[in-house]
Amino acid sequence: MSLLSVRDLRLSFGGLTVVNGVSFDLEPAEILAVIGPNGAGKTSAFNCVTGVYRPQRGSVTVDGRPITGLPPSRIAGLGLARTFQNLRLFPAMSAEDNVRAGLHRATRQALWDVLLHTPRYRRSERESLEQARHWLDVAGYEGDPGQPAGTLPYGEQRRVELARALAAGPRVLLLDEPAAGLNHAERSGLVRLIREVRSTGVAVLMIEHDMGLVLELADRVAVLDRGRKIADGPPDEIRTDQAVIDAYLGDADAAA
Amino acid sequence: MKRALLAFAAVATLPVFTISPYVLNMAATAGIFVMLAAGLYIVVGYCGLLDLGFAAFFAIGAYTSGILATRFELPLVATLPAVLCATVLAGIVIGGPTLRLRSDYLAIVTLGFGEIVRVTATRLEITGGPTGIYGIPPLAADPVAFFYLVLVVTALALTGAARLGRSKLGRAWQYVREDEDAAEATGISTYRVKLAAYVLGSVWGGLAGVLFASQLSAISPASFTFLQSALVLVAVVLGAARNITGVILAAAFVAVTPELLRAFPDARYFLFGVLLVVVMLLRHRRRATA
Repeated sequence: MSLLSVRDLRLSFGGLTVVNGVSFDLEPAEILAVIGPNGAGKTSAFNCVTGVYRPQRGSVTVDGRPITGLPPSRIAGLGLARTFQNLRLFPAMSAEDNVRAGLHRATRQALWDVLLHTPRYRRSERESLEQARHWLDVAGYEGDPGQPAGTLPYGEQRRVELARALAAGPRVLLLDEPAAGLNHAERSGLVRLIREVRSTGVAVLMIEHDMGLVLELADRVAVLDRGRKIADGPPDEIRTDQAVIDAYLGDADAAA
Repeated sequence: MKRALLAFAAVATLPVFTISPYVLNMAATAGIFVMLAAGLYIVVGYCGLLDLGFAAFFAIGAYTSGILATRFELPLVATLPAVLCATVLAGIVIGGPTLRLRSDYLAIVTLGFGEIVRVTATRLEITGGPTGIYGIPPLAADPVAFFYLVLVVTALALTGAARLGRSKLGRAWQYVREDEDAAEATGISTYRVKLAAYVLGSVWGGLAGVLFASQLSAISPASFTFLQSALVLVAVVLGAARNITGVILAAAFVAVTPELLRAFPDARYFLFGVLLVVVMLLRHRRRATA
């Protein structure tokens, strides 16, 4: 039984089918990259897994337990943490408070402790702050942890978002184009971080356009085109797959 | 914290300067209004939910305590458990189904809820119809004692709201305000978090209603109009530079200004409106240059 198993997923909006019968599995400590041209249904499939969209058909299971139809917060609670293609931070709140969102489920605070500021409340606040800073460190954040996230440079915002996902202690980390907009140094930092995360047994599912990064990191690559999976295998195999080359470079006959 | 204590001490010296019942009464009115604003601040300021019928909870608190106290000849304090239950229940009944929808719907439903509560109070026999309920026993008969009671309760309400804001739950409210989808994706049950904000806000409003019933000894539907909801919202919006101190000042301003303008009965609310616009513009400019 796989950690994450997606079977025959189908999602359509009105008459437009964006995901059409996609299946894949993910094992612990595995890095699976999902690639494909724009509009191939990568992010839509992602959103089906995380509960943002409810697929019309197919199933998503975590440890064999079906999760389709659960609200995103429950799915996150089962160990799936994600980042977004276009950063989704809480802009007016500090970097550390952003990361504390990931710790929300693990933090226990009774209403009375909060209202009376009991030692238990103070301890819990201190601990969550320490942990938030720890995860900011892990993600390579270098700025002021108290600075509002919305005012941070782009690269730092990405690290805050990663720290927030990691703070949740996920078993599956879902990254939607994590390298987009990063410079060379930031990109190698990301590669190191993803490897480190994987070495702790976390599975990584990532959508990425940067083929260099995909070939460097991924154990397996799934290729989507127009809502269908057209290939799935180790990076070396994918690179020479005819269907993949056609999808990316265009069908020579059709173009003629 | 120090500043809050200083402000508290400063306000507490008011009876040293005057024991005029008129002034103390106005101060108590302002205090009750500040407490209302603190409650609505939880809902609107922290959680970003637009509530257009907050006076409904003020009314539920006032009527629950007023009815129980006059029918069963109970002291007003003894009605507090019932007020808590009534406001929590009302919060769950209204918030429960509505908060599952997108936030915009809440504004419409709460607007309707505010009117329903007011109209129901006007029609029912138990609430005394349009004339309302009178002869409600005060929590404290002496104006000075009542002033201090309101001061302490309001200070506790403000402290409570501020502390909630610095907790796990309060942060979750702010996550929802900032980006509800991201909060949900991070594992926060946004529905439960929003419901908690709505219910806690309504408890604050209900308790303020008990103070109100005690102060006036008579309540009628005319006190719980949409204008009242709108004024509390004005205070929260005017004061909310995302901190609670601003809300205190704004609420005091909104509560006291119409009273000070009583000398111009015809133009009272017109002048109040002009003043509000001026204050809003000034505040905006200060923030822009800051």
